[in-house]
Amino acid sequence: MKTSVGIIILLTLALGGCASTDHYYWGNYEQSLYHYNKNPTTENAAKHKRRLYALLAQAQSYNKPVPPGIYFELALLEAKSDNSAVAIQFLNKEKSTFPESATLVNSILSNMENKK
Amino acid sequence: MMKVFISLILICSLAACNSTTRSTQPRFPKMYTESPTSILVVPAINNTTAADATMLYASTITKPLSEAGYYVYSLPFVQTLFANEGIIDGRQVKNKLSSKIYRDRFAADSILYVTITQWDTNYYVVGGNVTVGAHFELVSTYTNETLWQYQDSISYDTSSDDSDILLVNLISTAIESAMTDYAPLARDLNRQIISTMPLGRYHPNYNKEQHQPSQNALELNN
Repeated sequence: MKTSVGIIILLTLALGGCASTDHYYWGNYEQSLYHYNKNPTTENAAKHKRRLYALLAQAQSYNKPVPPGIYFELALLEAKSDNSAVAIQFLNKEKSTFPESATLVNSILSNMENKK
Repeated sequence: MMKVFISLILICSLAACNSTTRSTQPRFPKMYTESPTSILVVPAINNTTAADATMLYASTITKPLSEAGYYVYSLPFVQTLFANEGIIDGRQVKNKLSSKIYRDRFAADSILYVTITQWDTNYYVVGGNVTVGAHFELVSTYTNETLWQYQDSISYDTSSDDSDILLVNLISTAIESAMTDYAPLARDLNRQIISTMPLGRYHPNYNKEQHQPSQNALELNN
């Protein structure tokens, strides 16, 4: 009995170790996006946005990098709520973190400029 | 005896952890000659009758691709972009647009076409099973050639007695609330398929896998 408890603890530790080998911090991103996709109401958009902000904070406290596209997604959500200044900050953050996004970010930024 | 058993368990679980070291060079040589760093995932081609499958699938694809070391263009953004053009199913993308557009507008090195081949629940008298299947194809925006492709499916049997308790719980919920609980299956399937893809530049083991086969060869020679 004792040994089986020991084995379970060992297994949990080993599996726990596996789970944390993710390079990026994801939090509950997939679930959150999934629920938002399933039912894209304004209320769920706000909920998803809160979760993305929580992800940023948690990534920082765990000292893990923020995944590709998260700053970008926050920029979209902020732009939708007319917070273009914040949106621009996040777009630039995506660009400096992942240079692969530069072409796309630059074209969005110039579109935003033109609309002003 | 018990100690041996425990260390075996530990070794096995550690070996499972180490599965991110891959040596896929001989199978997908173009992945190494082109070494794409960014992937644009276009809306999935849905060959099943489940109308929501495409959208639900989209929420489970970014993580495994990013963890494999690639830059993935924000899927919610890409989907909105396509939806604005009236494109919801990937079939429309493949027929209409040339790869060059993705390179010009996104600077994407590669495009991922996902085809959902299965998304089914089968009911039997004593149980049933849930199956999710997909085909992935990564195409270069430079040459239009296929860099990597893989097809797989996973199925969870609900009638087997010795299946894991967690799994049984998962499946019984899946049957109760149909669409909602395909997501964990899709997640597992993605992980399974993407594990055959060579690693990208953001992965800590990037480029290490290429040297592995030759190192092994050296050891053998010595």
